[in-house]
Amino acid sequence: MPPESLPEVPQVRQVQVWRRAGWRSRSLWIGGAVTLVLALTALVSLVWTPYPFTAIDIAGKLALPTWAHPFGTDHFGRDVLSMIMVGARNSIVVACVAVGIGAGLGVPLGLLAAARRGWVDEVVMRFNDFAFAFPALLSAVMITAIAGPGAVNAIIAIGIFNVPVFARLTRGASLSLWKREFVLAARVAAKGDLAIAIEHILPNVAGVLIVQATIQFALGILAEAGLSYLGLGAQPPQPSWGKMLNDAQTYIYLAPRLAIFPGLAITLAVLGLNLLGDGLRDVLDPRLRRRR
Amino acid sequence: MTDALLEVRDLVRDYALPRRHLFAPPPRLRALDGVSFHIAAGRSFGIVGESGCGKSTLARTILALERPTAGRVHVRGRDLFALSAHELRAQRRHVQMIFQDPYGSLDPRQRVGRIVAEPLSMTAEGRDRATRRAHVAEALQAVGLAAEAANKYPHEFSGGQRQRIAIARALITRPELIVADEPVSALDVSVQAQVLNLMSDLQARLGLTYLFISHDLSVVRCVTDEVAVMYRGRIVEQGPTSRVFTTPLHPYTQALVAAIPKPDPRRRQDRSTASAPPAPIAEADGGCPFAPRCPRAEARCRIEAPQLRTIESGHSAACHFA
Amino acid sequence: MPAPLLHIDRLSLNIPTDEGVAEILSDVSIALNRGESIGVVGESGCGKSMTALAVMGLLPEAAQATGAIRFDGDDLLQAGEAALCALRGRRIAMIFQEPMTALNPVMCIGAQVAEGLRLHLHLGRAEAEDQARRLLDRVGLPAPRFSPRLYPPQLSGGQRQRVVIAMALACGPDILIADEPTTALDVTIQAQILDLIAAVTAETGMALIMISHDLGIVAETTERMLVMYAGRIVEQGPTAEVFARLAHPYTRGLFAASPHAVAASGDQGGRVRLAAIPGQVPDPHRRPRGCVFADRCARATEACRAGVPAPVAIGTNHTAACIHPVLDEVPV
Repeated sequence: MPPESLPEVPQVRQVQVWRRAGWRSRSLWIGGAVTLVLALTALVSLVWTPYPFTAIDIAGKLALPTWAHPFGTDHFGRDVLSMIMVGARNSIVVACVAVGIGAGLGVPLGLLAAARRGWVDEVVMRFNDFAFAFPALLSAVMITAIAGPGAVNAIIAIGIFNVPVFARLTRGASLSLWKREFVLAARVAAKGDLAIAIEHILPNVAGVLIVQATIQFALGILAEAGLSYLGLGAQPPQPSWGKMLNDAQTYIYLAPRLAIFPGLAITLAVLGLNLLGDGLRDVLDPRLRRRR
Repeated sequence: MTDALLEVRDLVRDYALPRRHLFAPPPRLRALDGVSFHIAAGRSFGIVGESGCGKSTLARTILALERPTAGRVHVRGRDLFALSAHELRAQRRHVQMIFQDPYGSLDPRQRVGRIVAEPLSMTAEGRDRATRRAHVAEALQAVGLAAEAANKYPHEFSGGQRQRIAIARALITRPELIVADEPVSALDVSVQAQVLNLMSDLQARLGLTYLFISHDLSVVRCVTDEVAVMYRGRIVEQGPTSRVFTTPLHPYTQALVAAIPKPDPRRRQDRSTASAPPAPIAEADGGCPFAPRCPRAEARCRIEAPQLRTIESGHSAACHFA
Repeated sequence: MPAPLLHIDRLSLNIPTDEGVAEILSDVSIALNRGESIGVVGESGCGKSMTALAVMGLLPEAAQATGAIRFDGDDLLQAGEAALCALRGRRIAMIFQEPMTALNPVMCIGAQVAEGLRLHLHLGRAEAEDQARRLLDRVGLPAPRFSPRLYPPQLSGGQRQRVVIAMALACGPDILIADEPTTALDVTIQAQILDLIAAVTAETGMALIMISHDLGIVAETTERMLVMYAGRIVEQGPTAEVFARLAHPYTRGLFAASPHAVAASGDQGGRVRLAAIPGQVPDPHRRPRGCVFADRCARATEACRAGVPAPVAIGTNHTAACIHPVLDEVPV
């Protein structure tokens, strides 16, 4: 019986039409632009910053923004712009590796649970539930407080809480795929479960995973900022946006700009990544690929 | 029956339904209830039935995608479920399948060449890329598509063309038996005709054997030598296609044949069709499964399940009154 | 001769897409009288479903329609949304192919049937419930087995389609449009549903538009029929006449390619080669200039490609849009 249940709009090369609709998404372009700026800032900071971020100039402390110091200086006379740039690098690295851990462990777990079902599925999902039961940020705080502050521990702490997110998402997206006929066809072709999971299931869930990864990335930046604010993330003299916010508290009435710049940086980064995630969803999510 | 390519003996398949109470055993749904038949090489055998009759379960069991609760399946003389995992994998190249949904049976993320080559890539000679490409080109041309189609994605093709791709995939390992599960149900009439003709031509050229499963009796009537009618997991009638359709013996077959809309406007009258089916019963009742809907049912039918017995040569039916 | 109840007058429908303008319908004219049953036959992409949507005012926003659809004097193409809402369900009802997606799975069937009654006829709750109960009885879903409190997932496909029919009947519409109502159903259930549709339309004097790709269904349920191909009507006339003559090459080809044809010819069965129509339906973005069927037609000549053929009279009220209609006997 014909698969269409509603009368068709012309079927000609539907996917190209959808893809083009996706590419027109404003979220995609704006989010993409902001994320690109963030990434470039971080890259550039590897080779050059206006001033070394460790350069202290007590005489010039708390300076207003000028051409010499576009964002001004902080209470130690350090150039705020340079610190923001290096802070970007830190945030990105932490978020990246944390999401990498989350996806690297979570996706295979989710694929396994969806492929095997039965008690394997139950065990994986109960571990997931267990992990979800802990408030992520507070647990990250606890882990870093116990294991000791520092970027590496922050990465691990945030990464651990990304695992159940990816596991659950992958499992959910994969479950219905295992029933699809092309998977049956692969079985008839003598493919084993592992090969099917890698060659058929994963490419078809990749879109959903990529979208989630951008969102987790944004959350990772936020989490890193939170941890650094509490002094549990990257340690001084490594600058980080959260630490800058904390330091700015004392001077909030005197020089509110010290809080505004890192705050804006965090906000823009998170916003940009969320928009990018939304935009990618318009392009990639197969569920939106039904007729409009 | 050692010369039969496919032999199915007393196949039973139960599914467990959700429990009604926490401590009660789960009720079982009997999808296949003692199905037996055999297909000789080079023949085209049809299985006809409506939704819920078990024909899809039958197809999956024959392809060893599911294990039966009881019964045996012999392919090329070997018991499918007695094979080791390794032997079963090697055996798969001889039995391939064409699926119903041309939109769902091809992985949207893979190119056509890779999709068609998949069964071949799991065999010894399929390891070499050049060999695979050559075979893929050959298979695509055999189904009437250009060899360049291998570089495109499924969404670039129409339903009929996708089904041709599915046929090419089924052919690539030169199987002996092809199970076609509603291969043309999702296609338009004129495309249907093209695909059915293609399947006939390929059968003649390559010496294939088909197990053709469909709910559409008109289609089955055109393309099969022998047909079995299934109802609620049992074969209720079996015989040469022309005979089963011109002189159906079982009341269910008669109802099916009468219900087919005929493109003959002189036929505008009320049909006396079987009454609406009751809700599916999980536990197997004793007696004939068709009794609740049968216009000829008597007390005997509700108690004693009729066995499939030969009425005329080669034509059998499971009814007390056939 | 009273004016037709529904008159689709030279309807053309174009939809702009990224690939250009898709010509979905070209010059479609259909006249439907009160109480008449008419069949629309065609394959995917012929535009039959779009025609039905045009009548209901449910076309996609991007669609550009020209021509007129006159229902009881008013042009539906010019009508505003409010006017169309008042018509839908009340005077023109439609049933679709997939009963599961036509019914709201979280609303009980009694409420869904009563919805139209309360909306259009402004019946009170108790009255609407009574009427809904009666409608369910009428469509073969009697109490107590089929309580109005049941939900669609608890019913089978055929039962759901009966509920859809009850909903369509509720306000006593003048026209019932059935778009492939039985394609998703089993053969025996299909027969019952078709009988039900025939019975209710005869009883209430509703006009019926039966849209199907199945020649058999149209043969058994309609008085007149029209055959559509690539957005145009290629043949129309009384059903018995059309089947007797099969004048347009596409109609004849469709009949010959249909597995029913083999059965109808009383053949011995066994493996038969079907007379397939070579080629494919032309892309809506690139419709040919002359006869749309010329590229696939064995009888095509230069004249066929020069311009769109005008309808030629084959019998009384029976026309085929072909310069070379097939006039020899239909093989019985």
